[in-house]
Amino acid sequence: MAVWFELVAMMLAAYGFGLGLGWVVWGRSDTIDTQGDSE
Amino acid sequence: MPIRPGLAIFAGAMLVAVAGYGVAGPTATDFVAPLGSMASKAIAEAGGTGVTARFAGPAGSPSRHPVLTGGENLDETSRARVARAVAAVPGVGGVVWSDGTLRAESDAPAYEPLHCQEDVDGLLRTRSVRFEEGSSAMLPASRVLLDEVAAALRPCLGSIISITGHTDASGTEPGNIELSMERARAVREALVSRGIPRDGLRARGVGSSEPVEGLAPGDPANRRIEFAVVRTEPLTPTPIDTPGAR
Repeated sequence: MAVWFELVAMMLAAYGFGLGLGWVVWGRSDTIDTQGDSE
Repeated sequence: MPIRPGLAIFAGAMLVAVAGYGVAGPTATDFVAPLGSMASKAIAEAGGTGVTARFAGPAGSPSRHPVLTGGENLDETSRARVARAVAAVPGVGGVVWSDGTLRAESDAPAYEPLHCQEDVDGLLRTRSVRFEEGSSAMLPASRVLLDEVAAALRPCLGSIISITGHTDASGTEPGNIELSMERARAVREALVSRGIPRDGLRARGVGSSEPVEGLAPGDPANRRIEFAVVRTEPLTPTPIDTPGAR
């Protein structure tokens, strides 16, 4: 397995993990806030 | 203009991939070069004359998973030692031989032969597990024999032990199969009560279809229980865990 492939795979995994973490931390609370504002 | 989230995520992933490739391209060679020199040193120390480690993938890209070539005149032990020495270099991934397989078979731990089958056969050579006629109730003498069988089977815990019930040819065959199955189950329960785990015991009944060789099907000596220790396959280590000679 080439080094570039390992690095790209790891970076994409980190990117996905970061997206997921961001969604868990900020994404869901934003949705709740929006609902609160509209009421 | 609103950006679709899916598109933004995909574009981000592409950017990450391109960045990764861009970073790895120029730096991979510098990363792999010290691995190559350390591997060469490890090979020399392990006595791997003529063995070379190639740190490149099939397409020629730098890789930290070396392919070992040469060493055809080395014995298996030396080849395994060389492979382990290379694998022990920090940063090196899985080691494979160019002329080998992916399985480190030669390094698989020698399988200790189990003697349970012989021990049980020895116990049952002169005695047999006997039942009351037409019943799955064991005779008292057979309970003592089962104690000895359970003790003989104990070293084989982890293996599958097959218990086969047989009957003679008297009576109808469906009834015989049912009776032989009941007897095999009775023996299984007796072994479970003597500390043999149930999940390793398989009970089956074959009726009178497999008489003792040389005996007439109607001979009462065909009423018997047979044990077979079915060995389980040992785990084969992966070459990454224990690099082998092939």
